[in-house]
Amino acid sequence: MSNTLVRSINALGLLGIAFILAMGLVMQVVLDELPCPLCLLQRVGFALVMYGFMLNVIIGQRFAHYGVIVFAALFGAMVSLRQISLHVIPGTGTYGAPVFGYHLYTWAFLLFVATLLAAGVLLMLSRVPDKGSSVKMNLLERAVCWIAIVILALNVIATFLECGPLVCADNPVDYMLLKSFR
Amino acid sequence: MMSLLFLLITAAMLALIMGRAKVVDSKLSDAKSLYIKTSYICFGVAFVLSLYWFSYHASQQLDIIL
Repeated sequence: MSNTLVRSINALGLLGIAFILAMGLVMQVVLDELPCPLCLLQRVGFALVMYGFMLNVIIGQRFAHYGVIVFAALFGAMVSLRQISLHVIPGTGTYGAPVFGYHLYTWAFLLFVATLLAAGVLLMLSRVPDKGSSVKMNLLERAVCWIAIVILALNVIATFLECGPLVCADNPVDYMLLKSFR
Repeated sequence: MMSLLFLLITAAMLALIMGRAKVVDSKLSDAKSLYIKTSYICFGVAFVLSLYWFSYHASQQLDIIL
């Protein structure tokens, strides 16, 4: 498989993760489901995975970039598994509403594992790593990168409104900054 | 704290795009681009802070378990 095609698949991965973060934001705003600290850390994990995909899209494929994806996905899986373990015992309750039968942290764990598998497959499909100077992004790849940055910037704003510069509450019920201005 | 993590990763991504534009224009190698180095540093700091924050959160609830 050509490196250009594999890079396009990386761009699709970037778009997919950006879509996941966007859906998290939509649920936060529309359904008023404020994310807990571990939920936010899972979003950070997705953002770190996005950075790995973006490295492959912008600079070109290198083994180190896949390493970034693997480490970020492992971090995210670790955080989501931690949250699953907090709620796995019957009677300990759950956090947030389930989506298609699973809670968001369970979905996050499955998606991080899927990302790990995808990184493995992409590594197998890759040939010789790209040279930095030979990579030229097309319009679609450029657009995907900017979409990812905008969604991440929206996350910065949403998180700052919720937690401010301090530590987030364990079970947030209101936006801390908005509450202080009322 | 959390917003700082998101901010660092956003800055890393922005620096990556800016660095790429710089490299194409001036024909410099990636390693020499200040933007790309800044991007790597932002990512590294964000990753380490994320790990710290996770271990901090886990240690807060460790006494409950023990």
